Amino acid sequence: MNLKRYAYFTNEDFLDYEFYSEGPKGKIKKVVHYQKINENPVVYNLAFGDFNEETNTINDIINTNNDDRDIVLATVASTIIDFTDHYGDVYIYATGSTLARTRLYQMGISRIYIDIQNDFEVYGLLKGEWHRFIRPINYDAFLVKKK
Amino acid sequence: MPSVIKKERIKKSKGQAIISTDVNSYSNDPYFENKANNAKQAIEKYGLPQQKQ
Repeated sequence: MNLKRYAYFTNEDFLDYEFYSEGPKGKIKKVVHYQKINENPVVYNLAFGDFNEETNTINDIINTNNDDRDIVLATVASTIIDFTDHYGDVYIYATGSTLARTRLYQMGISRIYIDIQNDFEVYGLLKGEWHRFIRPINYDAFLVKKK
Repeated sequence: MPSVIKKERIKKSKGQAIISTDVNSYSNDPYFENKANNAKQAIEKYGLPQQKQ
């Protein structure tokens, strides 16, 4: 994947990833967290948000408008590679906290889809059913699994 | 002020990530717990692709 992305950091559990968005609004700490939500088969939830240094809280409701959306999305997508290198062919579930955020995830997956489709299965949730991901369709949630 | 990371605290992972002891664990963060609970409910409701094929 040759998209521009930020340097990102993880701990030895490979469940938490941090990086800094840099743009007109300054430097904003971003956090990606994977949490197991199902045991058999194993499914992890991918969640992503801004870390508020003043309140020590995270949310993904606010739109930081730091003019680097594509770089941020590419960085989040890159964490999937590191995560699956460590955890194998588990399912990764992702959806936004709002419709707009889910569309953002959709755009991120669409941008990297050509690069990852040989190595990953990608599904979209539409009207309560999982389908193979097709770029023009807007889905409600996503599942990614290493082949 | 530029970020400074002590060399002894970081090392490269197999992928692109840099392993650092400075990265927090967010497993108990309420925001992420809430997101995980919502995701769990969605998986319970809709299942997984292979279970339906």
